[in-house]
Amino acid sequence: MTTHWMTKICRLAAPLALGACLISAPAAAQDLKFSIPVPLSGPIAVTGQAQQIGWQHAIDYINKNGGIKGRKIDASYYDDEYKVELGVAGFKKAAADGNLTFAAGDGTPFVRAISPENNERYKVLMANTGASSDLVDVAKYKYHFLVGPTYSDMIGLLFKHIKAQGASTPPKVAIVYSASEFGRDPLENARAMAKAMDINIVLEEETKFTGVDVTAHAIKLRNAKPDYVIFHGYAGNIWPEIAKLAREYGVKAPFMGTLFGSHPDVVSGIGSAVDGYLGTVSVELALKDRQEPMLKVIDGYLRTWTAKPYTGYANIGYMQSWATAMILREVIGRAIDAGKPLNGDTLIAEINALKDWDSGGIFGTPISFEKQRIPYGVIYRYSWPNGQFTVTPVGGFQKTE
Amino acid sequence: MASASTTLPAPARIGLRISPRVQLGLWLVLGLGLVFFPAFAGVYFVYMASLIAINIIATVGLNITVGYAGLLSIGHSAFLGVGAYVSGLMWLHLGTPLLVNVVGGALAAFAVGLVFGIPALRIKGVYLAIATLAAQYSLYFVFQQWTSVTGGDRGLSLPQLNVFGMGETGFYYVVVAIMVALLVAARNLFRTRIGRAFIAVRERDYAAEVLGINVVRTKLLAFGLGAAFAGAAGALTAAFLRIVTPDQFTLLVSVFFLAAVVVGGRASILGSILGAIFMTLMPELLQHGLTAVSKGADLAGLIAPLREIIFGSLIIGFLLFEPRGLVGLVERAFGRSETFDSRPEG
Repeated sequence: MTTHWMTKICRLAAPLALGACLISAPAAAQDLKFSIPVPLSGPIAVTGQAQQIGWQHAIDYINKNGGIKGRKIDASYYDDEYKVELGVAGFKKAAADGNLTFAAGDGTPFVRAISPENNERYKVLMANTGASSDLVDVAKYKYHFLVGPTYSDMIGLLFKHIKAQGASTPPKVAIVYSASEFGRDPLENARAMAKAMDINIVLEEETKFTGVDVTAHAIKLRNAKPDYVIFHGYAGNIWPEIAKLAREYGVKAPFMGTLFGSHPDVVSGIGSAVDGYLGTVSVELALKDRQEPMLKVIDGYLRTWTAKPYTGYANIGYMQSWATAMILREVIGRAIDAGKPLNGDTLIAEINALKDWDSGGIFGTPISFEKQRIPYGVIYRYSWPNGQFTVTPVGGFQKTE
Repeated sequence: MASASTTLPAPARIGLRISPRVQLGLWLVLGLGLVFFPAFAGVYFVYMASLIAINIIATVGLNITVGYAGLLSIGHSAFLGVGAYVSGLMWLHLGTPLLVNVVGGALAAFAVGLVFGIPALRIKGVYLAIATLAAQYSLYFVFQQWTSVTGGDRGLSLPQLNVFGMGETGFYYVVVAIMVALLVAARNLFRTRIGRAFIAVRERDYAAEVLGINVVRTKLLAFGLGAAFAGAAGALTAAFLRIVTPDQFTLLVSVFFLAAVVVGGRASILGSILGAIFMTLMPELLQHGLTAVSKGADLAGLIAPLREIIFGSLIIGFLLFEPRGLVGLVERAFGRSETFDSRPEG
């Protein structure tokens, strides 16, 4: 009887044991261990997949060029589905194996959840591809840096551009945003900035993050009669539909947007309905025929991404991964040169010590960190002169205020 | 849930009988395994074990409402949210200990569950499911908009919890102890008049009323108890993640728990346990397995979609070939069978 029971228990336990055996082996001691959770499934998978390819290309480039001071990067990727508990699980798994040099964060909720514990216990350098406004709280997010400005900074750049047009009356702006944590993120600061800059926000319209019926939103836009429309907090859908329908309803106002709504492939897919769209981003996106050394390298890698037709323009998530990897190469290299241990304290100090760093073209200007973020952005104009889609910077990289 | 023409006879157990001594031995082994697990497992495994235990509590709660009482609910995660926010606020403002917070979260969710259980008095089946969406959306709205209390989108950040000075291991023991206590309570519930009333109401509420069962009270209690389990799970989630935000309690999370009930087995405590383990662990195992298999090949971009496809196929497979869920598989493996098939929706 006992044997019979044992056999059955073994039968049930076998799949679990197999799963445990499949867990990957630890990295070599000399390698620099990176943990990179990305949302490969779930609501923002489009961005996550581009981020992962960007990381893979950037790490391949670094490793093929001698690693960081001779030490190769060993990256592990983890699909956290944009869920906090899975992000934390992935982080803990990587941290538990020891010697974790860097951990990426695919979203601000995950960074908010792990930061208290990371500050007290793990002390691992982190970077997040989101841009929520509270991430500049350097006491709360002690070991975290942002590879670009915050969403509020980006709205500020757009407001600055609007004011620079020199209208005689206060310009009327409509903000259309997604019902998500990052969609609502800059609203409070946007209201304050608008008041200070004498800009009249005539509509704040919240939409779903995904969906198809956008008629009501387009009608509200038409009725508000704005001079400018800012879309914020979208990955790839909803806002294109609203923009197209609003144009059909006679809305003539220029369309603008922030980081993840400004993917060239998304905007080009909408077509000439959004001709003249202005998008604020944190990194260079136009790579074709560029002479800056890193942009040439990245362009070469971009051409090898066979799943995505080459257009000469990079996805924002893809470029953000490259930007983060290159910053890490610089600061980890400096720490190794200085003989410092590679922990959160020394590496975040190196991040804050970067002054006028030349990224080889990834950022269109020498950069320095402020409040552990890069306070520079560029406004791109997306247009179709002669029917050909082009992305051109408006006034170059500028510092946020 | 059950149609008027279907019945759920008492399961006729056949096959292997386990002697009380063997049963006691097995329980001892399981208990010792749970106690000594952190000694052999790393931080990640202790974390995952705690997450599974929390999900088991929430799944058992939903199974009480959906499986035993036959009241379809797709607003379960909102009750987790109530528990999480109430316990988080108690912790932040009153400084109460974890166990008090868990009880507070459970009681608050119980009260809210009673309110949102009111539609169950008039409607059932898919109509009730739609009505429970009200709980999901209205409570999410409260979590997100009542910024002065809930912190809005950024939520509540909670201080570090160090149970018995043992960090994650201490928390693991607390979660497992609460889970075991609630599992025993749930199991014993269905040996009582109240629990049997749940089943009677599920089978045919008119007949139950004729037998002297207060259908109104029973249905409300089923909702309230299910919500209370969710509230306890929510309170533990808050302490576990040290953050409470509205996006942790969306409709998708409710669907996750409903799937755990269906995959594990309706009207079964063991089914709830297996369903929660499956839904929590299988995506992780698939991810690790596919990553290991694809080592050396450029398949990184395919792992996520492959995992989704395999996970979805497994769920469909269960529904097709073992409608009683994982509990049916286990009973089959141990030579048991039950005489009833899956029950159609009413």
